[in-house]
Amino acid sequence: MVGAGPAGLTAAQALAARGIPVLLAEQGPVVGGWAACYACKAATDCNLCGVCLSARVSRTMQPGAGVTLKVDAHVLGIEGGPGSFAVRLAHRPRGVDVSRCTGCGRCAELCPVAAIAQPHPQALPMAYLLDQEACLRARGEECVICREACPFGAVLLDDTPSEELVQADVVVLATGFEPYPAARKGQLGYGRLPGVITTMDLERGLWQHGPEYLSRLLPGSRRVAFVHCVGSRDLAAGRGWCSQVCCPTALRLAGRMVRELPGLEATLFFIDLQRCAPGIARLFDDLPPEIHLVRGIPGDVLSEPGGLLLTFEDVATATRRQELFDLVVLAVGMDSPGAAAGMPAAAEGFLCDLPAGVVAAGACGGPVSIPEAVGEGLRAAGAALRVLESLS
Amino acid sequence: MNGYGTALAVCTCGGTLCGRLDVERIVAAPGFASALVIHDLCLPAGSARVASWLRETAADSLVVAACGVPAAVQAVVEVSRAAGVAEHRTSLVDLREGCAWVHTQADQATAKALRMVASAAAGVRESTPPVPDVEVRPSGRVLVVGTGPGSLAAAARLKDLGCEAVLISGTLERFEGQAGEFKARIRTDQGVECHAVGAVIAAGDAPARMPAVQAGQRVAFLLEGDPWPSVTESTLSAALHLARDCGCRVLVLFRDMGVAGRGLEELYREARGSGVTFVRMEEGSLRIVEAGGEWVVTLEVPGLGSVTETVDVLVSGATDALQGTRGLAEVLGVAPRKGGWAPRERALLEPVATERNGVFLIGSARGPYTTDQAVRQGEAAAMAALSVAAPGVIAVSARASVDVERCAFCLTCLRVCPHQAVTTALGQTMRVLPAACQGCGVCAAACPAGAIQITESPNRRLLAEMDALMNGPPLGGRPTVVFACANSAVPALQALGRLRLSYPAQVLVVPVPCLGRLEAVHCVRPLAAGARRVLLCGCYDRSCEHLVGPATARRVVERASALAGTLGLDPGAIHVASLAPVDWHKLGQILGVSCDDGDRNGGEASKVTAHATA
Repeated sequence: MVGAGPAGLTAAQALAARGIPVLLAEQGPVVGGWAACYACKAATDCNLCGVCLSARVSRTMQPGAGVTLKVDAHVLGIEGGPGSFAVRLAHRPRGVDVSRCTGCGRCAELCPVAAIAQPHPQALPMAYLLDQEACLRARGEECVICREACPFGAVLLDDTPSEELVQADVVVLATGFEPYPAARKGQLGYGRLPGVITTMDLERGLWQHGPEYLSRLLPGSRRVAFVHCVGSRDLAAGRGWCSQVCCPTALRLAGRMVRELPGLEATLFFIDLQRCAPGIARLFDDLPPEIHLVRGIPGDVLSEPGGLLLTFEDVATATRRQELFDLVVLAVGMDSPGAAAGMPAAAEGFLCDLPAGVVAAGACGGPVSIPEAVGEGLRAAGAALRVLESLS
Repeated sequence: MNGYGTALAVCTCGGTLCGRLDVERIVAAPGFASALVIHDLCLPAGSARVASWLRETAADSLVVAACGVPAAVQAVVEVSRAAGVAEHRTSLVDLREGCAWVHTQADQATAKALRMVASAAAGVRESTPPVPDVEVRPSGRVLVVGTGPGSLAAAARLKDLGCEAVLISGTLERFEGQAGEFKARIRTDQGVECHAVGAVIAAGDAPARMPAVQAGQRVAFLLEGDPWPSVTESTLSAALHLARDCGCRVLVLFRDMGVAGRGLEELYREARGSGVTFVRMEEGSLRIVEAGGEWVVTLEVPGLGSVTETVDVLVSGATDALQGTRGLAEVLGVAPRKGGWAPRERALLEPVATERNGVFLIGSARGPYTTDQAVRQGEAAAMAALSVAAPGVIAVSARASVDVERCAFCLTCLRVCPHQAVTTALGQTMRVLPAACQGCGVCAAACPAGAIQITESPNRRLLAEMDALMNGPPLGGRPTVVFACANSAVPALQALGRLRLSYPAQVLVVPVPCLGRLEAVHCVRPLAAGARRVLLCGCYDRSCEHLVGPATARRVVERASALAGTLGLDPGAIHVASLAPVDWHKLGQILGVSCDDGDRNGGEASKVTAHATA
């Protein structure tokens, strides 16, 4: 099982529940994928974004329940066929022994340069991470404070990359997605203009810092623009597909912002509102008065003395308009996570036509929402079981 | 049980808790037969040491004060098993995240720790042995309702996985029982069929409806109404088919192009490429006049002026408007209202499952999904159904039980259970179906006779734990009691601990499976014992896994406040709050702490993905 996001975790647990031993390899230091760092988007009531579902899937991962979890493990190559796959894994040095770290935090209390820390407060595993670049040892100093301080001998200062070959009967790829690199759309100013962020930044900021993140982003006046379809439905950018989740995400985020910050006015710039998915139509129908909808995508964002100037074609009135905002949020689409260990992919980069015995689950096969990703995990577990049945 | 007395093990987490708590005082807590300090419960050496000590003490119950990490939970299970202490006679106290890490004054933290330990001990003493397991023997048959692509995909996958799909052609009239052993009655043209099935996968009817059009005619699809329907898969497929294969001239009048599904954007482009004209309408700009069997459609397009088209066939409304089978969800016991087709909104937070174990909804029975999504859901549901319906024997332990002596047969439990887990038959007593029960405790709280007990936390145990928590060494102020829902508040509290965000030691936490488990007496009792405030922290209405938790809690708080007033206590001291498990900031707000610690969590969290994508 490659990738421990909502889809991979679900598939691993579903297979383990049927008595199939599972090796779950995750390239990051913790499980949960992107969704582990998304914010709750409830306004007065839950808005069904599915973040709690992904949190539950991570939370119910129990040790010793048939799933062997390997974090910091990157897949280098997959060879062989059903019943005889050889998967080459590269282990990235974490600097901390995951099986010995209890998360006590003594190392972080004493580290003079804050190079060792817990990944995040709901991380699984909660084992700390050593940032080898920030560590004094990277500058040639002989600091061993954290290793000496650890009551459990869990700090591995001389951790080096290693490789491992594992055998498997069937391979499930759940490698997720990458957010569209918004900086590629230079005219929108991401990474160049302060005040231009992406929905991923907003999710993460809210998750990490709570509502105070919003007050910091918008200290004065509070005009917010959401620009949809950044890296979606855009053939010029090589991304013809609809990423499906960004319309609801932008609307839910706008809803939460409006609730958190009095006086905030949000304008959503879109091509088509993807209001078909269940539970989403209501979001669009019960729009708070502070949220405005404009059909038309701004061509560029300019920094003006009064704020960020957006120029756009308002389709409803067929007029060219300009408006000033304090914050521009780009609703970035879902990109493929890149070539997964030499597996075939469609022109867009998402996995398809995989060889026998290899199953794709979740967003690596195309954009999905969190509940859909969990469903994909179940589906892939069934497909994997079918392969296993055919082997015996 | 192999002995007597309760043993106490305190883990100091490598000695790191010693400065924050007076561990000596905690191990000397009164009422324990034996006590031990260890430093590494969650590592193999530590748990082995606890196991051998526990065997020597010959205690019949065990309290472990450690942390809430999965490895510690696992260690307690293993230790008690190795030493022959029954699982229900053990209790794990989250001393680290729940006390040591979140309180700054060692004396107050120690006082709270002593209360927590005493509370756990009182709890294990009042625990009752679990109700013996019941055996459910599914036959491997799964009922598949519907004839669309999703149902067929589910049936095919079920067959691959060793189950038998029972495809029906008729109307599902009655559905009862529990996961693994449901009984379904189906009315067909020939009469009535009955099937015993382990699970049900239900889809609506196949959605695509091709309008009656002759080759070469002029057709307009008009997507209007309230709310405005988007163009979706079936409109696109129908328009493409008519334009490409039937030589029709096709006009689609729409406002939103719904392309949120795999391949839909391509389908849209293909339809356009095949000559379908898509015209976006705005409100109030459309006029339709019928004349001699033809329709004249006049449209005001901004920037283009007026467009007029004459068509032979006008297809109005979405061709695939929501059309799940009416009444199906109701028969399956998962409908929010009578005769409705859609499941509860909560179901949208699950990929295929519903609040009733063993009942799975896919495709148009769940919502307006595309064919591709329906097929994927069908395959997912087949896998999910396997866990309750695969042939074999499943041992299920009852999470709630009815005391038949006390039961007054008022049927309240039957009415309030959100999971269809309570049943009765004429002349029989009320029964909780173990494979359906999810242990929320809503029935136990609602039962006027107090005849239902939750196995994990029977009422006597809960009250004993609360009383022990309220009486103990001084905390430096009047306590605030927080009832914490296991699905939301407990994980959020743990996050506050991991961030070392301090809140007053007067905050005493009582975990509950769901807020729906609480009665007015639970809320008033702490006030009577001197509490300043009582907070019920749980999920939002729409996110509650047990559907009714927050709504029940609001009603209970209303009653409890009135009761408090009558007793001369502060009627404004009891409150409900909703939060998500990932929103520890909101919990911090509720408890009065600022959670934004700037860079302490900040830097590291952003490194997580940097590390992942490196």
